[in-house]
Amino acid sequence: MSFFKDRFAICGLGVTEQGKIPQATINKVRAKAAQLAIKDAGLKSEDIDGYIYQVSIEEIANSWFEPGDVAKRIGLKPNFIWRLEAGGVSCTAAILSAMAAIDAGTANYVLCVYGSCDLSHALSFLPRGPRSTDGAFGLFTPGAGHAMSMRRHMHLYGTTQDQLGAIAVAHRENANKRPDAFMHGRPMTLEDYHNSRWIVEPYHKYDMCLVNDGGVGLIVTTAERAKNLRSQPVYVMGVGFGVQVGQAYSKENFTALAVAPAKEAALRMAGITLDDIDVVQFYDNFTGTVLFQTEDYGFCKKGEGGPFWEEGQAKLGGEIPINTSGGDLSWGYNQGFTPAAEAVRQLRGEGGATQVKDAEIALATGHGTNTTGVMEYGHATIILRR
Amino acid sequence: MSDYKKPLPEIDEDSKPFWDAARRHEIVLHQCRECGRFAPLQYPLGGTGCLEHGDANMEWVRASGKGTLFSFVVFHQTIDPAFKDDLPYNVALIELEEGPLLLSNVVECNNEDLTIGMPLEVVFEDITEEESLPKFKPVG
Repeated sequence: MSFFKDRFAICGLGVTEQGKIPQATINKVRAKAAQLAIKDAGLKSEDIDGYIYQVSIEEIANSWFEPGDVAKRIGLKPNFIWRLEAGGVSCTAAILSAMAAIDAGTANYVLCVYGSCDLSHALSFLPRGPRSTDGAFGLFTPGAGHAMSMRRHMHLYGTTQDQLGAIAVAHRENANKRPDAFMHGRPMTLEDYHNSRWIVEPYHKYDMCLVNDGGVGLIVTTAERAKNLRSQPVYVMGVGFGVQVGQAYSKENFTALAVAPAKEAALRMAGITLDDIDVVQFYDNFTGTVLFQTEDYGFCKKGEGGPFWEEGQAKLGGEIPINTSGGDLSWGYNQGFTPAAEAVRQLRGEGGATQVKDAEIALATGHGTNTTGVMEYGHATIILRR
Repeated sequence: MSDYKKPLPEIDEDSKPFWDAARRHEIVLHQCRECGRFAPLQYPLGGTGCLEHGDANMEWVRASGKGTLFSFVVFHQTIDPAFKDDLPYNVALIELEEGPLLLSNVVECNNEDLTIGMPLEVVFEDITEEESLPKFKPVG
């Protein structure tokens, strides 16, 4: 089905400061990202007739939701406000929902937003009640579940801590070429990586995504409308999704993600092959997630992701440039909105010192869980073109 | 035992046979009598019958308590203060001899000596008057 292919576009992109934002609240950050996106598109608040936002980890943890807050703050007059809880796949899910809503004739400009204050408001990953079977054995945080898969990968394929370090360092190098990255001005060597403290072995602090305040807004409209707006349109070619239910308790695919169905659906819808992709933005909550995706998408064989990154094949000028902004690891953590935002920038030629020359087609991904649960992951693929 | 501060396992109607067995210091698995397939030992346990042979054919069978280390992590950071004195501590997935994976901890072994594939056997830790956790120690 290529029903949606090239018929819709991202016409506005808003990126807030990534780092510590004084007096931030989640909805203030979302409102700022939304305003920047509306301005970027050359629209007005009242033009926005659909609003979809990703629920933040903090809101899930506190069961606290105020869906109408952002609309009130910035004067949106939407026909719908939807809060989407699909973890790291929420960005692609929001864009797909926006396209469907526009196609159904219920909206023209749909705003999709992520915002968080994860740095200002310390996050808790403790179980919510006195009973938790994972907790009984001391298993807490998404990092631990991912580290468990990584350890097995190291055993099966000989992947080394140096290779994980190479992934962390490559992301930091890109971030240091991008002035709006949270880690800009804070270079990291492989030695720094090894010296960073263990959080949950085999993951160091620098194997893990940033904790920051920040947000991203995207506006989706029809390809026709996008042509007459202020910013260069970025067209949606394909989307796809996959889920691995109970992955961590299944021996099959323990060291792989639910990439296959997502990738196949997105490529089929786009009518292209992997060779047509000029630049890739992987969801990078942990170094191992990048490694697994590099293999599972087929940029190298299974088990060869470590050498691929160590040899610099994912750098600018390498086989395929991956995570050109520094990603969730070194640019700023906005879950799936970080890769999507950088894909849009690359296709508009706004990648600054890490711009991939003449990038025409970008692939971005999402990865995550629908709950605060520890080990169960969904995957999303979105293919965009200029 | 009442001063036990760590989280307790989630026990419901479906998983109760597993935890009752743990209290008797046994591991039980939920298996289809017809095809021999095990229900995944994903928490919460049990509650779902065999797709092909239905609920009536499911039975809880005793496992040998032997297995190998499938994967593990070592925590160095306090999340729940109740585990603070245990740092650094391991959390492991055990591949039981019968096939399913079980979440646990490896005891009586230095974290540095943990290796994937090492043979392990179950030991039980009585954490309260009613509840016991299956843990694993190196064989021999």
